[in-house]
Formats: sequence, C-alpha cells, structure tokens
Amino acid sequence: MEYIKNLLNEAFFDVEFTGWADALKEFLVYIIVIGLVFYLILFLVVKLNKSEIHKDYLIHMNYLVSLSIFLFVVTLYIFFLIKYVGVSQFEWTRGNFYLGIGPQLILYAGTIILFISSYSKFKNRVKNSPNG
Amino acid sequence: MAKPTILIGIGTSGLYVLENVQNFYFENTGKNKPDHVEYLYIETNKDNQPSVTALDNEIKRVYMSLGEMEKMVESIKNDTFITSNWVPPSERLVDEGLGAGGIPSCGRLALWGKNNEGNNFVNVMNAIRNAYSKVGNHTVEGVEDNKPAVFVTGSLVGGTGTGIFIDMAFIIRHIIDDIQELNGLFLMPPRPVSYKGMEVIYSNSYSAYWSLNYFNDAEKKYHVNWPNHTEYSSNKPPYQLVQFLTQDYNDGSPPISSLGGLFKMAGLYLFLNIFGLRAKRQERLVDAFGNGHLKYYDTFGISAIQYPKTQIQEHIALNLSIQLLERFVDSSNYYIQGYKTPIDRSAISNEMIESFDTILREAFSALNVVGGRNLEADIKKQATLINKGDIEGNRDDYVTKLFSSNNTGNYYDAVRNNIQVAVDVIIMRIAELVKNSVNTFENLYVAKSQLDSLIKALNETLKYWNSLGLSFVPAKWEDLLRRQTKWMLKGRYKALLEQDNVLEDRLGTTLDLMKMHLISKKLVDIRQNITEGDIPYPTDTLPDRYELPRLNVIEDMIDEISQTVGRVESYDEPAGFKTLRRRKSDIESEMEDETIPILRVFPNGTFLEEVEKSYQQYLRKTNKSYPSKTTVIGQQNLWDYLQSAHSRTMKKVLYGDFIQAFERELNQTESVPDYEVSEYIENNPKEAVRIAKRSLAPLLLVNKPFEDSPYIPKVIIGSDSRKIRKIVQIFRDDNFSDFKDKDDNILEIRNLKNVVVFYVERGMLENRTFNPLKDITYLDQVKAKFEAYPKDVNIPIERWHNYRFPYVPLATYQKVENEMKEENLRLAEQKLKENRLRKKDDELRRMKEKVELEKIKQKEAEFEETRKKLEEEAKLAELKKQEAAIAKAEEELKRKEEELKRQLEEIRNKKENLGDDPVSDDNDSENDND
Repeated sequence: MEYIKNLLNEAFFDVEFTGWADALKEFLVYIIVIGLVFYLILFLVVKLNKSEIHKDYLIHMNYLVSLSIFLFVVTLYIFFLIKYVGVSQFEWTRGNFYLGIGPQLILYAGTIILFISSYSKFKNRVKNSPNG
Repeated sequence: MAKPTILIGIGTSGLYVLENVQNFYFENTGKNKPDHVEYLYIETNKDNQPSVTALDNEIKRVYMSLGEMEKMVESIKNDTFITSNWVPPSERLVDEGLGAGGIPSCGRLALWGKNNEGNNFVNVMNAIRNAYSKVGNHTVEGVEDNKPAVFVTGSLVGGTGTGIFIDMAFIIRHIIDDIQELNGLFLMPPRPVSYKGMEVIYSNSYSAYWSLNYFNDAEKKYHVNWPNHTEYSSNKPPYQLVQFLTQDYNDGSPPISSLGGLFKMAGLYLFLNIFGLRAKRQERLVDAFGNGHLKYYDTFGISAIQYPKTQIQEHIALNLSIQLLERFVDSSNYYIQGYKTPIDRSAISNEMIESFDTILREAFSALNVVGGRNLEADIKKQATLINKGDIEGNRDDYVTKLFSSNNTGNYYDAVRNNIQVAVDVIIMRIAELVKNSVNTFENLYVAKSQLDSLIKALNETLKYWNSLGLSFVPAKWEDLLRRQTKWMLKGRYKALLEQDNVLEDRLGTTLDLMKMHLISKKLVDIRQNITEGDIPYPTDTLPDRYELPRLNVIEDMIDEISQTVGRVESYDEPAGFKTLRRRKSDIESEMEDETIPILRVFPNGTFLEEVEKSYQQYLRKTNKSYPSKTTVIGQQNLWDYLQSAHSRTMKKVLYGDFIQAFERELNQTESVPDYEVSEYIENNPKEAVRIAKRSLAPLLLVNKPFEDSPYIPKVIIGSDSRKIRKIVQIFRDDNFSDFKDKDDNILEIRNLKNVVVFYVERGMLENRTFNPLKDITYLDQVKAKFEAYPKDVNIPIERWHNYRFPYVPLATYQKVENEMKEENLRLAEQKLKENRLRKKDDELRRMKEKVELEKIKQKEAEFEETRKKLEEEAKLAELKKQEAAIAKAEEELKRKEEELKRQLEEIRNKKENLGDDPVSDDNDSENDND
C-alpha cells in the first residue's frame, strides 16, 4: 500500500528527472491512472444520460462532455501539483525539468486538441451520416 | 284556386321572355313559378340553355336536334303517310346544331324530324303532355272549363318561331281537347330602317302574318298527317287570340332601345297574366269577342311605376357575393375576422417543412405495427440476441436477412405489405391541413401556397434520401444494406456496456432507411397527384374517405370562382351564364333605360344611393362589417363545400348559393323595406301621368289610331284597390281621365308589391277589328320586298317560297293573293262606283241647296220689301199725323187770330163807342206793324 502510495506520489507529484527506468515506470502508472479516471468519467456520464437521441451520437456527445470534465480534473491536478511542488522549485532553464513535467503538459494540451478534433468530427457526422 | 297555365317559349326569344316571367315572379313572391304554372321552352339551337337563377331554373328545355338533316328529310319523305310537300330539299340546308338558320322550313323540319339524338316530334308532344298533366292537378273548382290556359310566345323572325308556331297551336289543340284559352304572344320586327340584309327576317315575319291570317279563315283547313302517324284536321283558328308586339310605339315615341326591353315588357305581361290579369281580361274579352270588337288579333300598351326592391336586393346580394368570393381568390391577402393580412409565403414555407416532417414521422410510426407485431419491440429483442450471438449463422448474414428484399417474412416483407397505411396517413394529414387552412383563412391561394411548399419539402426530402443512396429500386437498397450491416456491427461500445442499446438504435435506423426506400415511390406518386393529378388519390384503409388535395383542383376552383365573379376580363361567358359583375352592371343599366316604359322610383334619390342605404341597413341589422361565409354555408367546412360545388357545375352552384343566401338574409332582416308607389304618385302626379300615358300607345305601328272599346281591357293593376282609386282621382285632378274608377278598370293583386301597372289592350280601329296584314304600316312594303326578292338575287321563286312559307305552298299563296287582288279590285271598283254615286248625290244635293237658298233669298227680299213698305207707310202716317197736327195748330192759330181780330174789333168798336183817344191810337198802330 505504502508502495503504491509512493508510486502514485512520484508519478504525479515529482517533477525531478531521476533516470529513464524510473521515469518509464512512473509514466506507465501515470497513463493507467489517467486512463482509468477518464473511463470512469465517460462511463458515469453515459449511464447518467437518459436522452432519447441515437445512441451513436449520444455516446459521441458524452465523450465530448467527458473530455470537458476530464480537462477540469486535469486542471485541478495541475493546480495541486504546482502548489505541492512550489513554483520556486521549477527550474525553467534546465532540460531535465521538462522531461519531468512533460506528461502533464502533453496531457493538458492533448485533451484540448482531442476535444477540438472530436468535436469537428461529430459535427461532420451529424451533418452527413445517414445513420442518425 | 288559379287557373292552370302553361307558358311555352319557342326559339331563343321565347326563352328570354320566359326568363323575364320567371324573374318577375321571383321578384314578387321569392319563387320562380307558382304550382299551377309550367314553363316550357322549345329550341333548335344546341348552345342556348336557360340561364342561372337564384333558385333552380324552372324553365324546362326541349331540344329539337337538327343533326343529320339529310336523314331527317329522308325519314319524312320516305314515309308515304306523313305530309311532306313542304319539306325543303336536303341539300343546301343549314349546318348541324346552329338552330334553324333563319329558315322557317328548317324550323318546321326540326319539329317533325327524327335522328340519332331522338324523335323531336314525340319529345315535344311528351313535354307538352307532361306539363299538361302537371298543371292538370290544379283545376279550378266550380268552373266548367278547367282546361289550362296556354300562352305560346316567341319571335316570328327566325326559323324556329315562324317554322313551328302554327303546328304548335294544333299540337296543343290535339293534346288539350277543347282548349278555350290558347293565346299567342309574338314579337315581331319593328319598322324597318332599311331592308338591306334584313330581307330574310322581314320575309319570315311576313310569312308568319300571312300564314296565321290564312288559317284564321274558317274556310281554310289545317289538315296534315303528322310524323307520329296521326291524321289531324281542323278548321279552327290556330289561336284564340294572337297578340303582336314590336319595339315601336304607336305614338311616335322613340322605340324600345333593346330587344331585352321588349322581352321584359312581354315577360311583364305574361307574368301579370299568371298573377291575376288573365282572369280579369277574360271577363272583358268574352264581351269583346261577342260584340265584334275583337277577333283573332290584338296588341297592347303597358307601363309601370315601380320601386325596384328586388333589383336593389339582388344588387346588394351580388355585391356581398363578389366581396366574399373575391376574398377566397385574393392572391396577396387573406382576411381574419375581417382584417386584411398579407400572405407571407416564406412563413408558410417554413411551417410546411415542419408539417411535412411531422407527417412523415407519423406515417413511419404507423408502419411499426404490422399485423399485431410491434417491430420496435422486435428489434430490441433482435439486438440482444445478436449481441449474445444467440443466432443462426453468421452475424452479418443474419442482420442482412432481416432487411433484405430477397427474403420473405422479414422486416422488409412486413413493411412492404403494410405501406398503404403510411400512405393513408400522409393523404389524411395533407387533406386535413388543406381543409383546415381553407376554412380558417378562407383563401385558396393560402392553400395553394401551402401545397406548393409541401411539395417543395417533399422534393427536398426525396433529394436528401437520394443523396444517402436511397432509391425505390430494390437492388440499390441491397447495396445500401450491405454498407449498413457493416456499420451496424462495428464498434458497438461494449466497453461502456452499451452494445444492446447501440445495436437496437442502429437496427432502428436501418428500419427507417428501409421505410424510406419503400415509401419513396409512393411519395413520388403523391407528389405527382398533387401537382398534376387528374383523378383523386383517395385513402384505402381508413374508415373515412379522404382525398389528396390537388393543385389543379385548387387552381380550377380559383378560376371558376374568378369567372363566377367576372374578374377575368378576357373570359368568354358560356352560353346561359352571367358573371356576378355582369349581372350587376346589367341591373344598373336596366335602371337607367328610359325607353322601357317602367318608371323606377327611389325614395332616397338614385338607385345606387338606395343600394348604399340598404347595404348600411343590412350591416347594422346583421351586426357585421363584412360578408361572412356562414351566411352561405352555415357551419359547413368551406373546403368541403367548395369540393362538392366543384364536383358539380361550380359556377352555377356558387352563383345560385351565394346570391340566394344573401338575398334570403336581406329578406329576413328586412334591410330593403317595401315602398308604397302610390305615395310617389301622390307627390309627383305629373311624372306619374306621363308614364301612365305611355300605356295608351301600343307597341305596334298601325295606319289608323286604335279606338277605345268598353269591352277591351284597360286596367290599372296594384296591390290595393283603394289606392288605385285614389290614383285615378289624382290623374283626374291632373286632367287625365283615360283610366276610369270602375271595377272593370281596376285589378287588385295583393302580392304585387312596390309596383303599379297600367295596361291597355288594343284591338279595334275604324270601327272594325284589327288585322295586321291590313293595318300595320309597313307590311305593304315588306310584302313587295318579299315578292321581289327572288328576282333581285336571282334564285328560283319556288325555293324562296318553300324556305319562307312552310305552311302554305306557293300555288295556294298565289291563288289566295290573286283572289285577294281580285277582291281588292272588286272592292276598289265598288268604291269607285260608290264614289261616283256619292258625287252625283252631292251635286244634286248642292243644287237643291242652291234652289232652296235662292228661294230663301227671294223670300228674304220680299220680306225686306214688305218691311220697307210698312216702314214707309208708318212714316207717312206719322207725317200725316204731324201735318194734321200742324193744320190743327194753324187752325187754332187762325182761330186765335180771328179771336184776337174779333177782340180788336170789339176793342175798336168799344173805342169808337167811347170816343177818340190819341194815346190808344198810337199803341194800336204799333201792334199792327208786328
């Protein structure tokens, strides 16, 4: 338990680069937890939505909603990360710092990009697909 | 109970006269005819039909076809029984269907002939028999003669009238045995201004006068074998009394300007006859015939003073009908509660897109239940089964089979067999949409615009479906189905545990696509039916029958309504139909026609002012500010009404229903009150006298003035005899005393409101009965023209005569004419002799007178002499007397002188005795000198 706690702590709140092996392990944990959180959000949103519209669209729409919620969660996490580490600890001039903070940045930007692309795809589908 | 009467119009003029009778009757009673009267109209012109009236037209038309003329001629000529010497040769006869072409023989041929269209003679006889049996139920109680009175009317200028009027009389005599009152009222041409081009007309009328006169002669027999194989012979005159009318007044007033005016007067006369005048006339006529004041012919003058209540009502009803009908076909506005609102076509378009969507949805969901099987529930079940893999064969094939057109018992089969349900829903909804819209907006352009928009939405839908690869071709559906199957089975969101819902949805989507595929053909049909359908597209499975509204029906309705109103200017009026506007202007111009001897009086000024006032009254009394459809159709749906009218002859139905409804409402609300015409006469005696005097001049130009006869009717007709008597008094006060205050000259008809009629019948001149051949001023000229015509235009006289004189052959005509000439010659000689004798007589008388005169003069002279002698003697005696007196006076004087002398002597003697006295001597000498 303590081990998992440490692992999560390191994966989410350690911005120091301590070598590739550790980084890989922490990254895997990071990805799994992030994925799990997003799935949970999506699942809940889908199950809670009782709308009568076509299921394919409904799920796609719910996916967009889940992305928004997830972005909010990520923003919260980034806030706590900065609070926990302290802005003074961020050494903007060192390359290793970017290796440590990289996944968070990618996650943040990635979520936004994913939302935008998914949204435009949904729009096209609503417009052109016969199956709606 | 009134005497049964049959009015028979022959030819087109006959129809017009009867229509006028019908109009007058309607004006006064609100009905087209009384039960004891029948109108019949016999015509050879296919196009002439009785026109539309507010109520059902009661004039029964008998059409005598002139088609296949050769055949008709042959059928008469080949039958040796039938009298056929008058039949013209079949070549050169008139074209089919155009009436008798102005040839009386053709008119007669029409009556006698038969062709594929029927047996004219039998048809005419049957029509008269029918009319007879109908009026026969209204016999007069307690009167021996309960045969009907028959009036035959028409003009004797064309082919039909002149051709059949004598046959007609004898046919009637044949059908109605011993008929007493068989009268003719015939309209004749006026004094000719020029004969050029009018020869045929005048020749026909001459033929009519002549032939009638011929058969009126008791020695001449009407003896023919009719085409119904009846031999008929009679030496009775064809008609008891024939009355002739022309447009000319006998007093030199300008003639009645239009034939319409003449028809009106003839109509007024016949109307009065069925309304009471006939009985009154008959009372007098019996004496007139008995006393030789009337025989066979007469004519009459008629005039009236009228408050034209019915025309005012009709004018208002026309106005209201026009307003209302125009609202139905206003292309830019509709009216809600009388408020004008512009038609917003883009708003309608948007609304219709939504409506069409709703209709389609409803139609599709109607397809979900097939034979008790709910497809939606079924699909849910199928989705679970497929996801579970609880199916036969592979998933793809299984899913494809559900929707494939190649399989039976699947969804495809079920929906295809049930597709009419969806079609019915669509038809029903569109029908309801139009029905409600027409009833609410009362505008056909709104409905048309809605249908247009609906078609647009339908087109868009079909276009969209087409873009999805949908088509009604099954092969294309199979292609699409393959793509759909792939899509249905891919990524079904199992991770989110939504695979059943997703698949159910996708199956549902495919089912919808399949419905679209199956219904698209029907939608094309529906579109076609709406836009260009000729026959209705009805619902099949619904309990209530609905019909798909069609654009051409709506357009047709718009056209018909516009034509009824008379909006379309280039529109040709069909035979026998008048547009509302035309009728309105006819009424207006009729009100202004001064040549008709009817004076229209308006208590509020002019006709239009009267109309306006009554219209305001109507609005006040009905509490309306605009005409409402409920007046006409009550609570009925407007679309239903228009549809049922459209399925009949829409123009006539609309014309009748609308005018009738508004007239009824005007009557009920008494918006146009009655007016007592005698009040007008009281206030304007001069004008009234002027109009009454017009009735003294009959509508016929004759050589000699007609004479008054105590037996020939001269009547004032009004609703109240007391008031008529007052009118007579007013006239007398105005030095006009032609109408008398006697019962014979007054006819009270209680129902005759708002009018006073002056009727003067004329039939006696020069102390003998009137005879048109002798007395009509221009008939000598007409005769000369008739006889000269064949030479002038170089045609055989036989043909000319045969065409014009169907009843009298040329030889007979010439014989009678020669006889008449001889008779005339004899008469002339006799007259000459008489004249000579008279001259001698005169001379003798004059001489006698001269002798007498001389004797008288002599006597006078003698008398004078004696008188002078006596006078002289008297003077002499006087003189002598005076002389004696003078002598006496002289004697006296002498005696006095002697006395004086004696006295003087005495005095002298005394003086001598007394002595000389000088003074006395002097005095004496002076006296002596004196």
